[in-house]
Amino acid sequence: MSKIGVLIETADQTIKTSVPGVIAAAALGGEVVGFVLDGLADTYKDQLGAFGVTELVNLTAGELVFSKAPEAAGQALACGVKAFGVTALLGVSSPVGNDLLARAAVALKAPLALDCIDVDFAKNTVKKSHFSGKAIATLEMVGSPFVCGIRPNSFEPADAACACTAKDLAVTIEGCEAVKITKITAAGSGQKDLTEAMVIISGGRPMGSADNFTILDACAEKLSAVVGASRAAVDAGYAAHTMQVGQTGKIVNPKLYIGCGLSGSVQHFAGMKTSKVIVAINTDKDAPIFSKSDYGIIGDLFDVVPALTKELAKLE
Amino acid sequence: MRIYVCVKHVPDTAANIKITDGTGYDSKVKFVPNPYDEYGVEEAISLVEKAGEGEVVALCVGDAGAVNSLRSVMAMGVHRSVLVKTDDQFPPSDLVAKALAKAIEQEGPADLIFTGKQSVDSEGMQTSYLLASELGLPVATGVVTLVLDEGTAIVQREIDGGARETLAVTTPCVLGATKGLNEPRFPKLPAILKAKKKEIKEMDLAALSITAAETCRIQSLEPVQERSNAKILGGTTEESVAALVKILREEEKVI
Amino acid sequence: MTVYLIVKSIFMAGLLGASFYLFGTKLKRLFTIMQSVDGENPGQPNRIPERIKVLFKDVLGQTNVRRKKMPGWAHTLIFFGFLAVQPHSLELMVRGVIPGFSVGHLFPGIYNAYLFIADILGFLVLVGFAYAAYRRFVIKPKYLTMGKDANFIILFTCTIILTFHLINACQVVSPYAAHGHDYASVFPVSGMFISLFGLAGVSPGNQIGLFELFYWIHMLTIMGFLIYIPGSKHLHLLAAAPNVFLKPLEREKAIAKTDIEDEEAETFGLGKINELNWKNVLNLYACTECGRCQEQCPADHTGKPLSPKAFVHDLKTELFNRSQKILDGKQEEIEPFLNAAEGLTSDVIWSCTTCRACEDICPVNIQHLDFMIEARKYQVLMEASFPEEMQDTFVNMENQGNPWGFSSDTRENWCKDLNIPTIRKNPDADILWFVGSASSFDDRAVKISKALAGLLERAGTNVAILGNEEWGAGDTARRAGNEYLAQAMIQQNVETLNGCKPKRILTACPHTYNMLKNEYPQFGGTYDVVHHSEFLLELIQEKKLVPGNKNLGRITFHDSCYLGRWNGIFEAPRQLIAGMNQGQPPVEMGRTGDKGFCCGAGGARMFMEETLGSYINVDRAKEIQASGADLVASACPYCVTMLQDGLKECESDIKVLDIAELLYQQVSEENK
Repeated sequence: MSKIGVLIETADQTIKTSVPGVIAAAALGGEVVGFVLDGLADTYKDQLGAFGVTELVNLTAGELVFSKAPEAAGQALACGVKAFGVTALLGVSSPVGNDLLARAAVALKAPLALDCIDVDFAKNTVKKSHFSGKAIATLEMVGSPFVCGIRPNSFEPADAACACTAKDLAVTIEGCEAVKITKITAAGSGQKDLTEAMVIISGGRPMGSADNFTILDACAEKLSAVVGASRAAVDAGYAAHTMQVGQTGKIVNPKLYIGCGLSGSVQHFAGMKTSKVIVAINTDKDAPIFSKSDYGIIGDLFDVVPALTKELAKLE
Repeated sequence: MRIYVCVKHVPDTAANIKITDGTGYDSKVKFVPNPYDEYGVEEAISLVEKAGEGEVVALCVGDAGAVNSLRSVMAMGVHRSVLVKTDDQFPPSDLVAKALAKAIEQEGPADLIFTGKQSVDSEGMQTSYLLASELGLPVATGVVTLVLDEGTAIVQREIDGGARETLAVTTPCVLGATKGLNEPRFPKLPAILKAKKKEIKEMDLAALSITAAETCRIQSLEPVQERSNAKILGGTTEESVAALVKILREEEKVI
Repeated sequence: MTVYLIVKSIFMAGLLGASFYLFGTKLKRLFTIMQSVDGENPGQPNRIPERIKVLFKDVLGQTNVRRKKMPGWAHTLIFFGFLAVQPHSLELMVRGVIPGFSVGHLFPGIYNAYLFIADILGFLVLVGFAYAAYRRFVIKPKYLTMGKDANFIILFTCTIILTFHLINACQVVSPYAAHGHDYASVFPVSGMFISLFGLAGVSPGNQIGLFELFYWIHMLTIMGFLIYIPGSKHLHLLAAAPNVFLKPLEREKAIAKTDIEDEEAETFGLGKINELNWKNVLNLYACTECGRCQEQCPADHTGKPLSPKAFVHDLKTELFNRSQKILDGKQEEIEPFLNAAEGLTSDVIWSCTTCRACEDICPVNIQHLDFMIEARKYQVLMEASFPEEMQDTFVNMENQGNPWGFSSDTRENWCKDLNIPTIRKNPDADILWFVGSASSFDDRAVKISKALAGLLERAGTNVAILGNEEWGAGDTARRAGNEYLAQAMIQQNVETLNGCKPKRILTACPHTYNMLKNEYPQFGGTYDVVHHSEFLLELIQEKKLVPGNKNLGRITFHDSCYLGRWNGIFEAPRQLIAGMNQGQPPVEMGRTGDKGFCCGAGGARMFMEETLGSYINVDRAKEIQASGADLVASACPYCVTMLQDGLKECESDIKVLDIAELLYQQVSEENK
């Protein structure tokens, strides 16, 4: 049976939220071998076993801290891939994930595709966006192994509990001094990550002020959602740029996207059109967003959103 | 000082893409320089202006029409360009990287090389890594700030949730620029007119006799089906909201 | 006495010589400045006979000045009075050098008649100035600068006229002053000064003394004034008439076509003051600082830093500040004036909506817009300096042919269910409908397009559109100063249009209308263009459309700047409305017709943020509310959007409709 490798991306000794989805994707191709770069495989193995990882490899290279040495991390992954004979290496297509996967692919001289929304191990193909979400391209990965980054929320985590054995692999890395990560600066006040969010509620220009976004915060709390914003709202100073969803902001892929007072501009849509369900709330019945959503409520968001929050509270 | 900027000739993101057969699309739309590449162009020009000497050379792998994008970046201040011609709408990234490396080899050693973080057509996000590997140089991408020091480039890149990594990359190196690095300048008319006379060296991709494994090939291209009209939930605010929650919970199962 | 007369003669000769010489030198300098500026010669005047008629009507007849009644009449009195008094003063000057010189000896009858009239007209100057003083010191309107300049002019002129009367009065009572001529009952007004000042009771010796005193005051004031005129706003005495003579004879105007292909050109647009052309300079000389332009300006009215009067004044000041360098040939030492010269800031030039209210109202026909647009061209083409929100707009127009960046492939989507053929499918169409960017992409404007489409269908018009081949007409780019982009857009459309040779072009957008009709000919595209207000009226007159004739209530009409002031179309939309409303013409707002108040969107301002002062469209909305109308009609997609937003801001229920929408409603209901 084939073995499919998964880069287990961690931060602050926690596994990233989107990793289980990638494991589920990998499981479609065979047994899942996880690769860990922070030396804490033992800590994660039970958690990952629940999702279907059979082997969990602790990659080490002497005293090297991989989180500070991305070139070395890439090399280490490449060694791991070769050592465990995996036919593909998957990972979360996050900024860190993309970087590590790319470095590993170059070290392996392997085909690479990032931000994929689907993988077919039988045909050795992947699917990903082209033209800012206007088209889906099917790419053939010629060669084994191949490397593939998966867009968050493209796959549902599977309940595929199995025993997970932790293994150690010490590798020798040479000459990877040229790129050093010297510092990580945290973002502002606990901004949650839009790109991984499963539910997003966004506000547009009609929000009218930064303070009014608290209405969305209240609703987001009930939905376990992250709050986003349109470019118009960001430009008007109602929201931070890190909250911007769209072509020039973040590309998101939630299960549920609620747009409040959004007109439905092409640029905004490029950032969230792959959402599973889109709900629009707008006072203008002719707003373009209604022709691109699944459900719509014609009304003032200042009435509808609090009402929605109240309705959701009833569920608890 | 010589700084290379890799520029891709891509369809404007506002353009409608009509897919023709299999993997092709109607190229009779407006093409522009890849927006991410423009941040690299602006940075390169600023660095040379600050240094008071040096040249910025644009490199492009594209079709004959790519000269327009090269004229655009030369209007911003790039001194001269090299165009490696191919009619392939989706040339594989490893082939492109090899062609760019060959051009650099011919034109002279680089102090710095900029690419964009990704292209807006094929969105491969890997040319900078492949190019760096060809040239044996270090690489960092998603760069939003840059400070050049002695033999090192101190850069910042954005990671999750708005956090940033600071990296020290030895120069020469390849940097993938992205939004936030700078504000690409609006070209002044005299510069636009001057750019019409700047040099574009053209060569055929085939004539470079490079072989690449071309391990990632496009097989098909399908348009994304647009959603059609939303189901409007009517009634009072309370009624419509209750209906919505019910649908999201029981039918769509997203909450 | 004779000693005095000899001394007086010598002094007079000397002073007259000096003052006229100084006056002459200053005039020559002004003229040389006009000849030395580097702007391209706008050419020699054409249609001379018409221009002479204009001189008679506007300058002699003062018709333009009297568009503002009270100050206009005051000025007419001052103008004629002052002219009338000139020969009298000239004679006095000569007599000062050659005692005993008198025209009266030669033509006594005519002489007396002239003096009689001059005396009355001279007094009317004082009446005129009394009103002027009342305006300046009691009413104190905002648009009048209460400067030293104005006050000196009032002082000088009143002194001259008063002494004129006093001299005349002396000439009646004093034989010395009369120098042998009988002035009895020649001076109806000055005669009253005799009793007013008790001149008859003064001893002859004192009479002589007074006469000589008044004479010297009169002469010195005139000579002082002569020297003062070239450096003051009173320069308009000399510059106004030529400026009016050279004014554009047509209301319609086109932005000047900059030669952007010129590889030798070192600069484009107006950056340094020496880049003006001689006609621009004459414009600046002609300004009287009357403030009427400021009064009409929507930007000034809503608290923006732009006042057309200050703009002209500041340009004139900059010109005079740099005049020595210009005359010395040291142009390279002159710096660009924007954000460097007092009062000339970016906010000033970017606040302009290009409504042309200033040009329209100017009594001396200054072309404010010429300076404004050329200044914008320099900022965009040479400095890449413009409001940052315009950068995306420029990129969008360049790449997709519309300011919002919608794919040019989707331009005809608005009518995909309406079966309007493209010109390729219907090459013999009678009407090529050039839809325009707003009317194709903006949701509100698309409703207007659909109404118009419905009307054309009902009328059975053989129409075609360009479809996706249509590109933005270039108005936004050109008004924003991006001449390079504008010319590219225009040339693309001209090529497309010349390729399909349209019989007649219809458009519902005044901006598009203005481009196609008045600016496309500069690029080889000359077409028969009609605006939908005129075309719909034609259709009704031809009975191809029959509107209902119900009582629609109080409707008011908002004149779009580019339809009304720019192109003189005021009546057609009004007739359309009246025709639908049982013959009731629309209720007129105060600021109507040529004095119509801009909606705020022109001059590419639709795509800029309005951050200074208060909102122009809200100001207009308040006026609409005050009119008591239930509905305001307009004939421009931008106006409709701006008025709708403005009325919403005022929480008003007043409906806003384009005349096409209004007509379509009436036509559809009629045929039920």
